[in-house]
Amino acid sequence: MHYTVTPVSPGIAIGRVKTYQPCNHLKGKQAIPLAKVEDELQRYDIVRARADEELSALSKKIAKSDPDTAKIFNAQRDILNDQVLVQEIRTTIKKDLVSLQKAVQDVYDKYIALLSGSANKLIAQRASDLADVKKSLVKFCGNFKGLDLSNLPAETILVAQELFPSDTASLNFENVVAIVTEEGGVTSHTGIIARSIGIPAVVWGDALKILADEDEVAVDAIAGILVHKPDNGEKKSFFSLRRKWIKEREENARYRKGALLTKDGKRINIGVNIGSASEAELASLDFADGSGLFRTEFLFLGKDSMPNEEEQFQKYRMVLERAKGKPVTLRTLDIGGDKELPYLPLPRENNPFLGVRGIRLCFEHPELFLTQLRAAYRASVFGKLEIMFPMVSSIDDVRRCLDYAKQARNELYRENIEFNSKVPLGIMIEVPSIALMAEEAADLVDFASIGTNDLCQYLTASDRLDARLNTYYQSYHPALFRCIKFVVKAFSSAGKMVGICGELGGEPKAAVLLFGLGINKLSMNADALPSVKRMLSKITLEKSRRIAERILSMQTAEEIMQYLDATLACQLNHTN
Amino acid sequence: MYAAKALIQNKTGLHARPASIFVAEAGKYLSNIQIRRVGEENTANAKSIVMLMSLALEMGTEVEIIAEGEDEIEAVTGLVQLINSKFGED
Repeated sequence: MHYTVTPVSPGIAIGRVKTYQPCNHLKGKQAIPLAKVEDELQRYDIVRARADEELSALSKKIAKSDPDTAKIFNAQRDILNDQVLVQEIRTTIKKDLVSLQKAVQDVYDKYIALLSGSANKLIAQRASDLADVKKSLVKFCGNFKGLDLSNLPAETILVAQELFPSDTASLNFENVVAIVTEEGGVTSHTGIIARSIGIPAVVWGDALKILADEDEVAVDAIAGILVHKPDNGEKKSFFSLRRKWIKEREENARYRKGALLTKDGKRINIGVNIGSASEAELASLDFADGSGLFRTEFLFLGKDSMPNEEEQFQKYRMVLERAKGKPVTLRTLDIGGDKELPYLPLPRENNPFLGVRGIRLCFEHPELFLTQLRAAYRASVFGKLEIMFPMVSSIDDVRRCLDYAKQARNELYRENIEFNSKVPLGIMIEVPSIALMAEEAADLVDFASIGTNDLCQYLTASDRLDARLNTYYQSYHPALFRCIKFVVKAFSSAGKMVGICGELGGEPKAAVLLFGLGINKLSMNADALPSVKRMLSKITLEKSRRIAERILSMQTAEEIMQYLDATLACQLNHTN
Repeated sequence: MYAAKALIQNKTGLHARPASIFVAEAGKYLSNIQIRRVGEENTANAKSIVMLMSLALEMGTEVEIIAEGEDEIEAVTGLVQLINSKFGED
């Protein structure tokens, strides 16, 4: 049987299902006789001790690599041993004569409901910690035959409702060939982990209803197809697809190193996006021409207090030094009402994407903005820094940004602190109104970078996170390319650079088109780098220009994608 | 019974790390300790992280700590001091 699924991490796999259902529903008898009460209370102590051991071990295991998640596990231990909860579960067992598992579920569900109903969003979020602890207690209750994630058989296709950090921390990925979850998406925890390890993953709402343990399943996490119990012919074709995919992955890996030259020897600047400054991410700088998008949000999220100038300076300096003289484009804080900062109350907004975000938030909190700019300028002497401002929508915004940068420079100058006064300053082009003012903006700034995700979202007026709007959020919408063309023209006649830092630049066929439109700087996630480099190395400027010209006269996204697939079929096929 | 008031002055309020510290401190005393917003009836067991969180005590909230037991004065004084120390923030 064939099913349509949503790919979140590309790849092809074939294997046997192991279902993982930690939040299982209560089955069997819940009532216990009076004589069993004492046993049940003792069992609670044992179960709690085991859960505590597990959390403590998990926290230690990742304390170094991921200190923030380690903190979550420690907070969960506080919940696990919470006096009120412990007492209430004991009382429930004694008074209601119910099993430990039933008592745990009832009491936890009550407090999960209490916290998730809180008007304070931070507290409401903590309800998920309670759910995680409940899951862990239920797992140890014994009625549940848990799947040992650290010891899975070879060729496992792991099927779960969703995987939590506590699951992936203990998961041994060696034997997992694919992951199928009922919930989540490209940006979910599972999606990010799967992509970073290179395991195919898909999301499919009916997974646990249809798939059972030991069922044979084939997954195409590129086209979005799942075959349940494939016949011999289908198996054969999936095995060959998988071989091809693995070969392609290996070939891509070869393209990681070295500078990119097109077939006719043109140089294109290919950078990696940095979002966490983790060691793995920074290592990818070795294979790239610097970073065209250094997101700084990670410094501000998940913290109890605002990162101070020194803390930011140290991080920026570290990234710049790690880039070894290659340019790094730091984007100032780009955050809005859909995020939570404990130290900076952000009012709830009906339309966070159309609200006080990016530079608008920085204008509301000048101290925050200046602190970041000062830290960036101080770091500028340790490498090749560029600074860019997100979400500008008018020439006034551009001027204000430049004024703040000047103020930061003046302060440092007066304080006799060293900095590079020539740091190039640029803007993100993601709001249509500034795209249309590109000619004027180009006179004021040193460069621009087009954020294709947001530009497409604002051009098509479709929330890019809402799956129902997928048909409207068309990343190959002709209007997007016409808009890019306009911006490129404006900036290049002023002699200034335009780059792309959205996801589109990481798609090989789109990269060709963007190159043809006059873009010669792309920045993308590290995993997209090899396939884009490979594609562009097979293309001439001449051919990409012809492609771009054709595209600009097309009417629909469908038409554009079909044309690109057809005209680049030869290059897209790795045998060439 | 012994009680005293305190003003929460740290930015995070009484959740996340400060809440854990607060509950751990409360757990050191033998007395029964309750905490509530000044002017509201609802009290929460100060030794319970979940109950404490349910009160959603933010920066700028005035709270009252009420203890009953053999070390009630030490308990209230200790916890008020902890709140006034801003949990080491800023």
